[in-house]
Parts: sequence; C-alpha cells; structure tokens
Amino acid sequence: MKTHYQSKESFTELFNRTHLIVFRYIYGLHGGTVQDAEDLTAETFLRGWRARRSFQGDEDAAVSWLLQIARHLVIDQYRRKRVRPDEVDMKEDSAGSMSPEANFVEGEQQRKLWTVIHQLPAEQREMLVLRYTLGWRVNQIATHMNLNENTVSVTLRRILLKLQESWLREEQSHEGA
Amino acid sequence: MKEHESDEMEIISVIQAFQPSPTELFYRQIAAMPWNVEDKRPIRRWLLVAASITLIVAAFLTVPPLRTLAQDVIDSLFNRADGDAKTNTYIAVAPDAEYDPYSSLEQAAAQTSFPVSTPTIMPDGYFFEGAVWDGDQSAIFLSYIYGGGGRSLQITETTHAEIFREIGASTNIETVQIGDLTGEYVEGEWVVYDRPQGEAGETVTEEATWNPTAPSRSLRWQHGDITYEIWALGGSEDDPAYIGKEAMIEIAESMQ
Repeated sequence: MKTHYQSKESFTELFNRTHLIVFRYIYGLHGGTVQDAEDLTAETFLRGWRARRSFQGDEDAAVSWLLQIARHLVIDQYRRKRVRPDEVDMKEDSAGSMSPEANFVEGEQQRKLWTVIHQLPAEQREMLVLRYTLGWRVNQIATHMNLNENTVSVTLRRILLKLQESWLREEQSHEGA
Repeated sequence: MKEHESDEMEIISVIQAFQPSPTELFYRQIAAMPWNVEDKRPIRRWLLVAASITLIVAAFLTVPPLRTLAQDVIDSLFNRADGDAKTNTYIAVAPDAEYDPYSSLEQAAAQTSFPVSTPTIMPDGYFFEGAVWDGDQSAIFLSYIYGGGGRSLQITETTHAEIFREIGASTNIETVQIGDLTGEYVEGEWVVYDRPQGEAGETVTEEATWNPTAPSRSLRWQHGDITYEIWALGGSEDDPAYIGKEAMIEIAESMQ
C-alpha cells in the first residue's frame, strides 16, 4: 500500500513503528555512544520530516528510506570536521575507530564482540546489523545495499569467519594478560 | 568444522541478543520535534517564506545587469596542486553530535557583504539543509541534501576566490557556458584511502590522492567580484538522483 507521511499523525505513526529499527541500525553502524545514536536517530527523523513530501511508499520502503538518511548522517558526521572538507574519505569507515559505550553494552561477552564488530569496515558492519540485529532477510539487504544476494551471503559468511578469528584473538589476549 | 559452526552460532546469538533501546532523554528530544508540536505561529512561517522571496527578488534586482558583460579574465578558476598526491596535517577533533554549523538562509545571508544568489531549480528529492556564513573567508555555503541520503550539493559564494581548494595537477579542466558567462567544470576529488585516527588535540598527518573518478563534481564561475562554486557529491550516472555537469549548469543558470 502506497502511503504518504505528510501529516503529523501519519509521521508520528511511522516514528512509533520504526524508531527502534533506526536507532539500532545507527548504534550498530556508528559505534559511538548511546547519546550519539540518539541524536543521530532524532536527526534522521527530522530530515525525514523535512523531506516527507518527496517520499511515497509503503512502510518497508519508508524504513529503507530512513535507513539511507541515517547512513548518510553517520558518514557525514565524520566528514564534517570542517564545514568544507578538503577531501573525501572513500572508504567511509572512519567511524570504525570508535568504541561502543562499555556500560551500555551489558556483559563482557557482548562488549568484546561489539568492540570487534566496530573495527569492521562500515559496509560490513551495516550488513551485519541489518542481518542479525534487525533480522532482515538476505534479499532485503541485497536490495537495500544495491548488491546481489550471493554477494551478501558470501560477505556475511566471511564477516562471521573474520569475527570468529578476531574474537578468539581477543579472548586469547585477555587470557594471556 | 563443528566447533567453527558452534562459534559462529554463538556470535550470531550474541549479536541477536543485543537489542538496545533509546533512553528517556531521547523521547524528550522527540517530543519537541515539529511533528509533535502544535503550529503556534503560522503567521511567522509565512513571514519567513515572504522574507525568502523578498531576499531572492532583492538579489536579482541588486545584481547589476552584468549578464551581458564579459567576466573578468583570469587564468583559471581552479588552482592546481603540485602533484596528484599531497600530505595534510591537521589537529584531530573529537566527534561532536551537537555540532550543527547550519543556520537559515536568512540568518546567513544577513551577514554577507554581497547579495546572495539562490538557485530557482533543484532536482527532485533534494532539499535545503541550511546555510553557513564564514566571515573569515567571506563565503556563504548553501547546503542541499538528497532525501534518500548519499548525495549532496553545496553552493559556495565568496569574494575570496583563493579559499577554494586545489585540484590534482593532472586534472582536466573543462570550459563550459553558463548563460552569458564562462565557467569551468572539474571531476574528481582528493581521497584519503587510509585515514589515520588521532585522539582529539593530536596532530594527524595523512596522505591524500587525487582520484579523477571519485563521485565529486565542481563547477565554478565568476560574476563581478563574486566567485561561485556548485559542488555535487555522490551518486553514479545511472542513479536518478545523480547531478551531472548539465544539471549543474542548469542550476547555475537559475542563479543568474
């Protein structure tokens, strides 16, 4: 069903249905603090509100649209060290250096794993968050990221292997310490 | 093999188990968002619209009819760097989620020493994000962003043409016609492939390489004392939101 989200009521409904998805996506992708993720989530919906007249689609399309805005914001935040950047970070993974807020991620196991996840390139982090945090199917991820399904499946498999190795190294380094 | 699979499942279950939620502060922030507050001052909104229209009309009226006059002849609007690689040194700053450089067009334009030109056309899906007046550089930046994300357009107007960044030494500079004016068009961008991470306050040195195929396009022209640049970032030619050379020229013409 095609829907416009132009009225306050319809946009509020969209917010209520989707803000957790957007927040979790940003938190996973950004790797900063909860406050960062909350601010970026609020900014995502504010931009969505401002651009609502340019959008028409069902709720799935709206989620995808909001996540694209969010992705742009996460990347853009790191580009704005000056108003006018001198160059562009093509890898778009500079967010990877941030550590998750330790006290928000409960449990040592969670904390260690998310530390490793936040060292992955942005595209891989995004894929992982979409697949396992948001529970998207491979074909949905492929459409959203403009990749073919096979690439998504293979990349996810490689990411999991990489996480396994990094996690084991992390465990061993803690045991050795 | 089985051990690997079990590790993999454990990793997946740990990721799936983590489902963070926003704090109370977030919901307070959202309560103040425009879709949650009543329009208490609709008259003010109309005044802002009227002020914007007045500003645009004023810009057209105050710019002398120089469209037919030749623009100042200079060697090039783009300065070339010594090579296609350069070293940048800067002081790292901490990410600041509160940082928002933008103000309204009216607020920024009120500080300029020259009339601000705004485009009367903009491709579908792009909306005005905000404006920045930089007094040190005597430049105003107008930022437009695509609603779907990933693409943006920035217009710079300045009386200090030297503020614009250099381009790679090997870059092709194409001369283009913008109405009665001559402009220059360049594709490419400085790219940092391996950006070092520095602690806030730390001096960071990075290597930038000019990439002629980077999704970055710049169009510059001069009109009187003012140098203009339209900078389109992102997208590929098969993307409906892509702003290429012809579209940039049309936008530039709409500013005259």
